[in-house]
Amino acid sequence: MRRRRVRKTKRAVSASALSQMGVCERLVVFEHSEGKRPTPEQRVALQRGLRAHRQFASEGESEAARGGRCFIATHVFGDGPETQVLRLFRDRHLRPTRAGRSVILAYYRLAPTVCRTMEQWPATRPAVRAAIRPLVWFATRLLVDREASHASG
Amino acid sequence: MPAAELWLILVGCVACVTATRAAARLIRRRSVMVDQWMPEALKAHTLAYSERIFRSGDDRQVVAHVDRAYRGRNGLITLVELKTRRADRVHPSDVIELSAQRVALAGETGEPVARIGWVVVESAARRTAHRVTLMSPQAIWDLALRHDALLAGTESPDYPATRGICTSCAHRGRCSLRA
Repeated sequence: MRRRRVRKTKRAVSASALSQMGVCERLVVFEHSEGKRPTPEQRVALQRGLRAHRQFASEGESEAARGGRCFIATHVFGDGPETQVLRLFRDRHLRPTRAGRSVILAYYRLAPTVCRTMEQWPATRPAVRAAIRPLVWFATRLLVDREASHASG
Repeated sequence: MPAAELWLILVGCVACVTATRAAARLIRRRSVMVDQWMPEALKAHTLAYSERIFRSGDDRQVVAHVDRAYRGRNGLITLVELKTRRADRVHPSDVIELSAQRVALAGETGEPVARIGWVVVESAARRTAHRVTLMSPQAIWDLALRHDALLAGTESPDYPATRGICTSCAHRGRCSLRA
């Protein structure tokens, strides 16, 4: 009975806590009991690291923006929740299977043409938006079902 | 116009030109740094995730912050971790961190994650990518169990492999056996 309760409890450990085990296990125990005590040099290094990560993140954002500029969903919904849902659907349901990847490839080939058409004739945009909405609804349902099965499993 | 004002304008102009040239040099160096670190193996990949936190969905959760993850044409995800260091070197802790990220990302998204990862070391204004082979998920779960045991006090912690770590440690005074 007790074992079952322990199994159901989700205990979390961070990747950085595990990586610290590769530095020094005694440090892990000390920091657990005493808290972090960075030396002045370590504080400076930490700040330098944070700055570098901010720079790396902003480069990543611009790289992502370059990569995803001509998708239909972004074109009609912007970076709104509908686009996020469709991206999640693509990554979690389509990418893992070969058939799904073929669908993505076909979409990538088609998307620039559709985007260019919408730029030339903006009146087509509401029609495309209306056509995509059922797909957004369907993707949301699938993602919610998957989350529910993850939570119960 | 008095000579003093002329001198002031001249000094101001020189300062502006110097500052502009310095800024241009900095931007040029930064852009070179940005472009050069990317290994050939990742150039055909697309950026899938950047600065995101993942949680594995198992009973024992691993939470990981992923710097970047690239997706190949076959859908395989490759992890990239940035480190800032004086020396251009990869540590065993980097491999553990990337391996834990692999467990967390695969657990949350269900996507396949490559056994090969990249540690990008930023040192002296340049970045170098180092290819590393990641640990198995089982090794990460074993490490998580040992982590629990250390914090619970049921197992005794080991000393680091090299004494260099001890010299910069704030707990050195209490860690009397080696200090």
